[in-house]
Amino acid sequence: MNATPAIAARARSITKSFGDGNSRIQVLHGVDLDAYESEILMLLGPSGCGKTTLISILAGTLTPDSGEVNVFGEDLHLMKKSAITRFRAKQIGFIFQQFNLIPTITCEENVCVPLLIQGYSLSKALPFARKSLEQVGLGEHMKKRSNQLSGGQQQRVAIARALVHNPRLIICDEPTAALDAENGKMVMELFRDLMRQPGRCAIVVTHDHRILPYSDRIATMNDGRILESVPTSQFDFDHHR
Amino acid sequence: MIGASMFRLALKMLFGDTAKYLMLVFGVMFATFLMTQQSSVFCGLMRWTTAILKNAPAPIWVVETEVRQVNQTIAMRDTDLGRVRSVSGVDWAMPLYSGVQNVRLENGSLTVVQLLGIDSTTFAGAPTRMIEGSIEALRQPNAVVVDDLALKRLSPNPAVPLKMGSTFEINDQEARIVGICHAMRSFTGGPFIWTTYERALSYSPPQRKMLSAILVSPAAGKSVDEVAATIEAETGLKAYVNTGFKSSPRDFNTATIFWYVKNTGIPISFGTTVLVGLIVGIAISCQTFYLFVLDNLKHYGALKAMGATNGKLCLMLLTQVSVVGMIGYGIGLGFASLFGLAAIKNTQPPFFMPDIIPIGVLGVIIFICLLASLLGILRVSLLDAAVVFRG
Amino acid sequence: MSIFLTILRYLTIILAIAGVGGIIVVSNTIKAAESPMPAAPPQPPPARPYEEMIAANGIIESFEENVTVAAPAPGLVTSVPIKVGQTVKKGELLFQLDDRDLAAQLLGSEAQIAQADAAVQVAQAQLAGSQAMFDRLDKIDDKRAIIAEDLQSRKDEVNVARTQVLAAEAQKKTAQAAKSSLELLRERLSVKAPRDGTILQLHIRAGEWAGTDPKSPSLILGRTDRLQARVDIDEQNAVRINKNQKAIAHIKGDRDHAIPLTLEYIEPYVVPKTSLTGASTERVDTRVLQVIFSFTPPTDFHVYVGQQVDVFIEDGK
Repeated sequence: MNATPAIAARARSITKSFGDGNSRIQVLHGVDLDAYESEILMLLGPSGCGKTTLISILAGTLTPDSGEVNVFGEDLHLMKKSAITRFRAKQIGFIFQQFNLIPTITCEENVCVPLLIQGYSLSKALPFARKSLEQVGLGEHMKKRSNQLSGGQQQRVAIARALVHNPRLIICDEPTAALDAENGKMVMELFRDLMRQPGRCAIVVTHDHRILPYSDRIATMNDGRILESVPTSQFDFDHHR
Repeated sequence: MIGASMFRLALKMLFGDTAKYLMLVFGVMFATFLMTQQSSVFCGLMRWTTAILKNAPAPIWVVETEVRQVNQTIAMRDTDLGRVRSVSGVDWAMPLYSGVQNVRLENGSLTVVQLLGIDSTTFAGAPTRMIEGSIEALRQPNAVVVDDLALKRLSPNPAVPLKMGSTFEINDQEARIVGICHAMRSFTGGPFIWTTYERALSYSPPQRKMLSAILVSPAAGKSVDEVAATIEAETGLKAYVNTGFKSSPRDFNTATIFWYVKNTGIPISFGTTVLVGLIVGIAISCQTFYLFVLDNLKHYGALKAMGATNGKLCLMLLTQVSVVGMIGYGIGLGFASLFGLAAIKNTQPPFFMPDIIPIGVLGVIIFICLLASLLGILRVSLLDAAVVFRG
Repeated sequence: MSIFLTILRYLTIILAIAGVGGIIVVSNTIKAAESPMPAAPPQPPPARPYEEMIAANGIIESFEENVTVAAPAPGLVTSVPIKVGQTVKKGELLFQLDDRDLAAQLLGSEAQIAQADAAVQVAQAQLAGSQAMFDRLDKIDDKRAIIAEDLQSRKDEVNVARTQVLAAEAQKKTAQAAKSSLELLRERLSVKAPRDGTILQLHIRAGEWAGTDPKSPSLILGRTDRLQARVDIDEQNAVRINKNQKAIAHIKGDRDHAIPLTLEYIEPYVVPKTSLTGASTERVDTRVLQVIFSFTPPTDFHVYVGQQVDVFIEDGK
């Protein structure tokens, strides 16, 4: 590991609760988390432990009740909602568990979406999208609808979409949960290859232990708290299995 | 900030699923068709009640004081014609007999007709659209001019319509067709027959008074309303103007239609049908739109997470809804116009479409679109971007 | 499949545009089918002659009204020397009734006159005889030769004979009077024109039986050199009529010719109006003031007695 890698995303004393009165549930109890540049951080924990809430806060789609969130030097907890939205469009790429591709448009158009959101015209965005799709090895499927592709191919399209605008932070929610083992492996290998870029940081939420080896660091969570955050090499796989 | 590309994306999303798109369009189309067709038929039916005013055209109708609508005839005295003529501002005033009479067909069956007796000198109140023959031929003995409907209705054999020169009997007196014209149908469905005033009186059973109405034209430079008011003031009779629905407080068309609205159940029951059509149309469109929005909510969530602003998403939604709305509206109008053309050609069912109907329906469709978009926009704005993370 | 769907999508757009076009066509069709309000009736009515006026209808009569000539007694018509439309002078023979029975009686009365005449002559002859006898006796100067009584009796005979002549003459006059009377009766059967005029209607022909029913006159005689219009004014307009108003008339059915009218007189009694519509049953519906206007028949077109007229009377106010 490098001596002092720059911090990409930092969370401090994050608390978050949902609901009111008796049905109020405290999901995060003062979470601290650091993600560094040029690394893949995997967030591991059982369902309901608060890991999805945490990455939503890191991505700026949820506002914490208290605590500080800093992504690439920007204090998200101090910014206005519209500014966060703009920041998100530019700096963050998303990969979802259900891929969330729009089924009624082609793969290349799907990949264009983050650029379109930033205000690119379709004709300007398309070359970037094609390049991105070629990077994930789907050059020949560009004109197909996403619902004509297999699950693995769809997730690769989603990866292409997450990377097309060259974001610095990639938020990845259970990328392999909807895939079989073989496709999951293939997707993660591709993912790891594409992540290896200076300054880029990926935070992957998962409870799939098979993909943990693809990470640089692993943070484990339970019951709204970070239990540990260690480099993958020091992670005790047996203990967590 | 909001690039054209988002519109294209919105359209691509919309057109991507042809089946769903067609369903949406069908909803709006159905609503448009239902509203246009129903209200046009309603207007047509209501207009039939004023058929006499169209078929015996005159700028002013002077009638007995108690007359409230044109199909009601209360006879005036013969000398009332002279009194109306005496009113200053009257260019001319001519008598009109209007009444429902029985016609006996050659095979012995009876049918009712609307008999109009017009002044034999000027033929004021003559039909304006002659097909065959001329109105001057009414000066021949036993001559009548009939509308095209009468040719079929008064023929003993419907397969062989009457023609010029055919004869039939009105109250057992012979009538011979010397002219055929186009005319608006009457509410009662009976054909129209024109003859001279004197002959109309002899066709009708004798009564003490027979003058149904006096047709009046204002002198040059005088307005119909002005002259009608003078006639009412000087003669004590009722003077209506015939200038078109809602054009004047004295308009006979308006009075007639409102009379039917107030005094018969037809407009209310038919109006209810129109209203039901409207509600069904709105409900269908709103429902299909809302389902469409709900269907796409997941994608809007993803777009929102990826940094699309609420404004952009709303515009996308508006684009989709308005495109569906306009195309559905257009096709709906297309079907309505097919129906309309068939109805006009057939003269059945009644069909009359003032421009306000397609414009009003457009308004309703826009309202539906806005309502559906509003519901969608509400959902999209309240949508938590984080929703996409929850599988 | 995909091409089909694309075509389907574009078809909806084309259909939508066609639909809007279609509804415009329908709208125009409806507007074209609208019966436009005609600017004027097929035959323009006569122009309003006066700004302020009273309108009424009337019927044309011959001036000073018509004479309905009937037979003096029912009888057979033997000759009708006149024709309808013919102008006749006063006293001209109109028609002749059968007078043969009177002619026969006349023959008898002539015989009686001859008889009476003869009787007069006989009486005169007797008077002359008696007178001669008396004169002879009376010429004798010596009255002693005559018996006084005899002379007196002769004188009486003369007086009787004279009276008999007078009686016979009276008888003759009676017979003559009877003849004159028959001649007058015979004269009556030759119906003559009571005044100058034109034969408007003629209902009898030679050989027909002429009745005396006033409702079916044998002929109607009237003036056509000047006509009059009997105009019914609605009682509500009656107050507006005075003697100095101008008026014109249009024959019903004729809008081109206006006939100037002269007011003759106003019938001072308001009567129930009888309808002039020509229907078989007359209908009383209002009371009217009858005003009589006269006019000279125009030369450029014909006006006939009995025609209906629309009359416009200027209202000076």
